[in-house]
Amino acid sequence: MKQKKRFSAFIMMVLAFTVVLAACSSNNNGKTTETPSSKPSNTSPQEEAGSGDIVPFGEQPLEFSLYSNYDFSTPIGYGDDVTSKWMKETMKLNLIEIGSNGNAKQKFGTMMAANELPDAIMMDRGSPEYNTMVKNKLLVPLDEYYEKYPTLRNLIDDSTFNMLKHEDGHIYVIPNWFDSEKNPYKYSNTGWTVNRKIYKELGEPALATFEDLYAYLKQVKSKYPDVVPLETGITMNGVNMLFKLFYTGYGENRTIWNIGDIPRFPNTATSTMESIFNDSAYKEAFVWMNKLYREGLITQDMFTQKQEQVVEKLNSGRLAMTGFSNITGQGITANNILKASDPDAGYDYIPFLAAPEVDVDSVNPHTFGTLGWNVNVITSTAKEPERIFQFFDWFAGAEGQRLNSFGPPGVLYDEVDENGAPIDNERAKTISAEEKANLKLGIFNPEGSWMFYVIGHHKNAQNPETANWGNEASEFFGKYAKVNTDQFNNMVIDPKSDTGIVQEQIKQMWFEYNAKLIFAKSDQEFESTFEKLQTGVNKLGYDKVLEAYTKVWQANLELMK
Amino acid sequence: MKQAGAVKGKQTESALHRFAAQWEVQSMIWPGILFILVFSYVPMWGIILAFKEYDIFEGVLKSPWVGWKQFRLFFESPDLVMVIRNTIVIALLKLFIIFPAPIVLALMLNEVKHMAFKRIVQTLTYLPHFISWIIVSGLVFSILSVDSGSLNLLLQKLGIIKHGVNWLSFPEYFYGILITSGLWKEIGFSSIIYLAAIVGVNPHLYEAASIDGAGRIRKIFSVTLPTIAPVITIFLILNIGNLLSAGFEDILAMTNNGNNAILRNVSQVIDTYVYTIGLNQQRYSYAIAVGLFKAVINIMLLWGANKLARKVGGSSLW
Repeated sequence: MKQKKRFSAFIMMVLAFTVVLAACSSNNNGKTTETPSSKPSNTSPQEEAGSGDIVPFGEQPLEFSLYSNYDFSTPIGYGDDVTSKWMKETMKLNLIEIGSNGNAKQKFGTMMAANELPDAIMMDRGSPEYNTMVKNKLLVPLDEYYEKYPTLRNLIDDSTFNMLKHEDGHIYVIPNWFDSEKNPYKYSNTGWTVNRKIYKELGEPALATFEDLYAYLKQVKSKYPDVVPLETGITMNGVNMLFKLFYTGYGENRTIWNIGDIPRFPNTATSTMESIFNDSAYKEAFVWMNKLYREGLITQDMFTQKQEQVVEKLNSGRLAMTGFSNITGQGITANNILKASDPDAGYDYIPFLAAPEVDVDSVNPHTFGTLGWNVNVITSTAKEPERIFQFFDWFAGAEGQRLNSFGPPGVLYDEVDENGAPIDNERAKTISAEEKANLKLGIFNPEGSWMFYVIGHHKNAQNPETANWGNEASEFFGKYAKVNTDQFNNMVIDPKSDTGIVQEQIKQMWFEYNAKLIFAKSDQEFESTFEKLQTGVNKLGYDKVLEAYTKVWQANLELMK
Repeated sequence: MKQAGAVKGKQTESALHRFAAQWEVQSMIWPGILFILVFSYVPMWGIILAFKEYDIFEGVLKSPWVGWKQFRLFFESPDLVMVIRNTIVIALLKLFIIFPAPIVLALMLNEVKHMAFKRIVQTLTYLPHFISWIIVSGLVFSILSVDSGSLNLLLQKLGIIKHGVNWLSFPEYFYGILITSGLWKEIGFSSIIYLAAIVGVNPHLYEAASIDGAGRIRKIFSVTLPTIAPVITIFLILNIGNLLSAGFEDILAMTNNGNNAILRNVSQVIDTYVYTIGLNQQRYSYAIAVGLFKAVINIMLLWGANKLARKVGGSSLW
């Protein structure tokens, strides 16, 4: 009997132990929920602003952590390249980069659950992550700082500033790569390029329409068996940029923006978001993709290849044409590498191609928006939110934006001209392409403002011969921007709501069918797949999602008035 | 009351004394008990979240109750049939190919008389076990890629195919690739346990069989296999109990973290589905409900398999 007693004592002990552990974990949970409310974040800036004695950025050491909420974000190794090394040594900024490990949503969820927020986050404006953080007072309102430090405020248009505010009237974000009505130079990182050498060897045939393209790719394939005729790049969320380029080749209001995770067609006459299936160009574009895929004229493993594989092909000159995003950024490195061994090699940007019988002038694939690509936010865990804001404010100005593409002073320039553009020094004139590539200019860019475009333009204008290829290409592609997308801001549905669940199911279906349509082995298979996609998403409730988008759109139009 | 009987007559001895006397044995069992408690039992209370709409900021206790809503959503989901079908297909493929393969390898290795050769084969087959799936998938991708992938180059040089085949973009090849790579990775390591069991077979049985005129094959079927049958049964029961855990790392790695759209229809299994929905779409409660559903089925399968094993062969887990 004693044994039995001991056994039950053992069980009791185990239970007690479990309770203790459980209590520990619920304590932690209590902390998670209480920290933000016990320290109301919207009072901290006033306190700090009141204390006053903040010195200009760069005079005193500053350290903060920055997390970029994107799958593709990987730490650059802060302090390793010439620019961030200068930031670290001269401006006394120690930035702790937090990587997403290739899975931003998971990383974000883990940091939230563990209550280990970074000091600053780069994320999508109006994303569910942003909204939940505002709701739970995890972000620092920046209203006071914007008043105190004028660089950013002067660069941001008033209407843009209003759009960036949260519904509660406060502003929590610092727009990244934002634009302005005042900026005469638009930039865009996506467009078509050709391999200069191959194009020359094939006699530089005309490349204006998809038919020209097709004929050219066939020529490449027959003469250069080891070259990929047209590179699609990697697939982002199931959609190819190349597909978007085909779609936008049909002109009018067909922009890259229309083809998101859930494609839609904005009817600007009625301000309603309509079904993409009403637009015949949508199917036509897939017909092109399917045709080129079946004939082996575009990347055959577009859904499985990794970014490194694309970069390797690009840098070794094994692509005859490209049609993917950020070619302006990656093309600089590729051109530098190729030029190092052969002065005639490299990639050239070309005008956007048009579908047959479509007016080339009506093709305007790019959109512009003053709101920018995304935002930087400062979290309530930041110890010195004001000084972090001060850094972003400084970086958005001419000095910071110059760093973005030209590196720190004393490397390739010592002085700047009257427009703020750096003037090449001796080293800049003699540096080899390879050596320049090793400087890794442009990889450190935590914040972009339109000053970047202004400086870039003036730098290129100094001497067309030494112009930066990426800037030139970006300015060239940027000319094709007609539709203002500020009106489409915040088109996000809560994933847990009924419409949100439908949206997610539709997204998944589209994700799958984008690939199936491109890979269809025959015309019949293509037709039936397209049919299935259309009936499938309609059945799931595509119209409900479009309705929700329309609501947001119309509300935005109200806000912009 | 078995234990009570075993210690009869030592009642004067205190529990502490006995514990001290057995410390070697106790120190072996306690880390295991602690591990199970901390990582399997303590987190179990999180199951209540399957009946709630978990809000990461509200916390577990404050999130609102929603009853069976998450389960209903799963059963009404258009993904249900696809996910269950893939799970069962992959699980059965693994059960019928990956489970028996190491047994065959162990039996074959046992017949090898050349010790050096046997050791080399053993080492080479179990080394891949220590390579992570990410690296294995990287190897597979580069072997199978269209642009200078070695398999395509080989087949092209041999004149079997004219153009490179994009192996990973055909759903019909996926199971083959998944099972082959899984087999390559785990066959050697899994065979260790069976080799150990075979070593334990009483040599007299082989002698007796030889006297009776049994050949090598006869001995495998009449001596080796029946003797290691209990080990096989136990592993079979455990495997069946985990049937719905059809795979996770391997599938995610092989599908580019689920980004290979063309394979989604054949590769999405319950575990990857829970991961996609829960962590990527942050619908935690829904994911927990799906996970709980899987766990319940697994428990039923384990119990059923155990019962069947006891009835048929006599050896079982409990």
